[in-house]
Amino acid sequence: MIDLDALLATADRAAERARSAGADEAEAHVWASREAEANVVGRLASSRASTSGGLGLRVVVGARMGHAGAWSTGGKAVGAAIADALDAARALPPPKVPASLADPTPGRGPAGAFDAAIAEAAPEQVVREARGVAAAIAAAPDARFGSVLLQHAEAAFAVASTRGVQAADRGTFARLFAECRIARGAEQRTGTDHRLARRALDLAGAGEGVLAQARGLFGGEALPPGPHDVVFDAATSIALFQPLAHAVSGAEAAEGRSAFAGKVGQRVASPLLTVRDAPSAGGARSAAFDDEGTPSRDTPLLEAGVLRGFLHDARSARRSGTSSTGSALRTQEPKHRAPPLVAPMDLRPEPGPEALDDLVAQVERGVLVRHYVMGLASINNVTGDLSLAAPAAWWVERGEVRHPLRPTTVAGNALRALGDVVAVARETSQAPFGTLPGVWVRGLACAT
Amino acid sequence: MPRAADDEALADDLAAALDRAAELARASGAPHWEVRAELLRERALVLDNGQVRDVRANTGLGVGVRVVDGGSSGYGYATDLGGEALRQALDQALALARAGPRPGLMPAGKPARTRDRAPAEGHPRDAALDDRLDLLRRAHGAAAGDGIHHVRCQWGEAWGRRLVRTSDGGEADLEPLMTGLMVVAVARAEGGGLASNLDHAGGARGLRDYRGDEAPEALAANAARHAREQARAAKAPAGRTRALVDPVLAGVLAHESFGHLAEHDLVDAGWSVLQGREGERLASEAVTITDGGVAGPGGVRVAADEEATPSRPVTLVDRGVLRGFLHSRLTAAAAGAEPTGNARAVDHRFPPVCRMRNTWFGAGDLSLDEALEEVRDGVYACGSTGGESRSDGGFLFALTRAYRIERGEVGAPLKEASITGNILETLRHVRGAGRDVKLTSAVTGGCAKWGQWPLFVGYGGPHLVLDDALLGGQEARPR
Repeated sequence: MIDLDALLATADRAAERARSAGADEAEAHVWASREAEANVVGRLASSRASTSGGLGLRVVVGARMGHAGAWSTGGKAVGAAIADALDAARALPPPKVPASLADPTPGRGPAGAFDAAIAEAAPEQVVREARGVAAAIAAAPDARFGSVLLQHAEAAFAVASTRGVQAADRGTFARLFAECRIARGAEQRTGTDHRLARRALDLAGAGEGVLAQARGLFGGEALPPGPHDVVFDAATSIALFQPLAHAVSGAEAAEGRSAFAGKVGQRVASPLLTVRDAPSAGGARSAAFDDEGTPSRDTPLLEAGVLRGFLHDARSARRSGTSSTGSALRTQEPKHRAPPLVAPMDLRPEPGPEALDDLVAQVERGVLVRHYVMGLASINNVTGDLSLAAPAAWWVERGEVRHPLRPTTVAGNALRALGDVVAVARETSQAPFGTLPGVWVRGLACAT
Repeated sequence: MPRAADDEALADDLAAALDRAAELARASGAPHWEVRAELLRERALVLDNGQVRDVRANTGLGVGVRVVDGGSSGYGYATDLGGEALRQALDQALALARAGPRPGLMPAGKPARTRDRAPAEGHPRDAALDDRLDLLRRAHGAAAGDGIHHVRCQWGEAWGRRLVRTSDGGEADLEPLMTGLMVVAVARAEGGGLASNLDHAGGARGLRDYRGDEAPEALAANAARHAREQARAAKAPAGRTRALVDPVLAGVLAHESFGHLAEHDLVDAGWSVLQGREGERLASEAVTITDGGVAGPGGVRVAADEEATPSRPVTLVDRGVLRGFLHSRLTAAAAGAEPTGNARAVDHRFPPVCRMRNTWFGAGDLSLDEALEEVRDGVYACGSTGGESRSDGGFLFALTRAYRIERGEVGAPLKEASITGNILETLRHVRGAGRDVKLTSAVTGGCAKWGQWPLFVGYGGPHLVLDDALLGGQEARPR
């Protein structure tokens, strides 16, 4: 296992060294990871493993904050990061709100998930497991292609600052991306399985699952014209919740870049939506501390569609006259590359009482979107505008899934759509920023 | 800044680590190995409404070892350059190679020795922070005012040293360089809403290479004009239409939706729908697509790849006929072909896999007016703010902006539009190409494959006329 005390000592030394070099205050975030990844693509495999780490440094000089990173905790690389961070701070104009680092906060949040089965697995075992899924796909006589990417990682971080912050935690992560393509004559269809988890994944049936998915997509038909009800399953509702994760940032609200700014106590979504950030559940990117060392905690965000509050880091909390919710996260990989942003650890919309299939049975006319959507990266998280392509979509009429659709575009506004939620499904799926249920929404523009 | 002495000290450490890693690999008895050492300096600056908002810097340092055993590849890397970490990286690479499927291949080709430094006027290594801020301030000054509510100007750079050594004598000593300048303007729309748009330029170029129609002032003027247009834009209609595709979106189609299909690791695996179709007519006569390592202004510069194979240009599609693929040494062995210099990795964390360099549609013979007249009535689709493609050729790209084309002229602007379809079907609908090939690249993003992101790539082409395209928009229209 990664030695947290050693990480903390490295962070401590870097922060002190930055202060000696001229910083008024300094905070060092040191990360380390042990990763193994198997990528089996047809008969070729390209696998990798590493033990690596880096340093993200924030310094305050004259109320201005500079950031720099280094992909090493060696002396010369740390020296370069300190010099770069000081340069960065000195280049900035005096801010309206003086920059400062987080104060130490007593206690510790709920620990992120840690699975020894991941941490202790040899890299070769990851290759063997990936090859097992790939072999199941390859054994199908109608499979034209199969690929499996399986990743296991143990990750740890430590934060130390000249204000006295001392925090460290570890966790494990697993990721699967399996894909296959099935041929029938000249036609081909693709099945995918993309899963994130904090514990080792159950891969039983994964190969068979993507094969069945691809086989079910033959015979796609055109869509009847007009706006439609759309039911997103738990894997595709991320398209609606991604702008919500942005809108609940207190930092974005303070800058006027959140559609929810100034709306605490007002209805901003359907009464069917109750949402909290819930690191206590141990999913997504939950950890005992955020990336400036503040203990994490659960935070109510929406209650029956009414905005109850925002997520905050130390700086946005000071601006808003409240306390940090432990939501300063280095969301980019590798973590030293950019300073922390305000973001949820594990955004959890409360699931509904009914299964997705039971919701579909109540749809008079509409579109069912499952498994995968394209276009997440181009969603406008500020306005909520989105334009997606759904390769796996079905036409639903009088409660029955009638037939697959040709690849279907779905466009509209996610934040408005969350106001038009008809129902929330029981099943959830883990996205990078949360644990999300399927949803049924009204009136999105669809075309084939 | 600049602190050349610090960089030289880091580069010396890097060269020493490469020697150590090569010695360990040689002693291991691995059938084939490559070692790669990289130093990467990255810097990003943001001028937000005329105020310096963000200054970031990163120093990347690492060594990777790849072993090929029986055709199976294992890769280990370390950010600690000491002997123990390098030995662990090598041991992991050996174990992973042995655990993989073993198709019995050995890398093809004879790697050469390549040394390359991108020619640049005003290399960022020699520039002061104020030189960069001056570019951003010039852009801000040209974009601000006249209906513009907010201007964000962004500079990015990545440069350093990449050293490669292979067990069969290949060597590369490269000084990669990538910079980019982007201007985002936000205009206030009627009714109080906001609308934004952007322009950018990038490539293997220095600070003084941003001039002419890619000067900060020119990019800023475009961004401001486009933002004002978007502020009065109507919702884009959803459904099928004729379309004129601009050079940036043409490049995105060349790279994202077609180029990946030509990467031979995906062809060999059966992922690509191009498998077994060499020599087949896939597209209209108007379509020629090329991939090359050194392709002129606006593109990236890849003189040799991460297997130390020198780059050579590859004609993928020649007047509609599939002619070539992109190879690493291992896929070339599998196909009985020669490596093309397309084995690339984002950085030291990753093994090289088949990736594009600069990918573009070739020129046709239409002027812009002739291309508009060919479309007559339809949509002018410009740029892309992001998107995805799939192994079956399916793609979706959000458009940076769009306009109606009415009676052969560019008409009213449209907002929040996307283009989607299947690239093989789309290529059959290319009715003509313009004479105006333009190459572009961005330091603020790049290509993604198997978790390797962002790889700097160039992409481009001329204006393309499509006689059928599927537009995604918020205005659902009955047909």
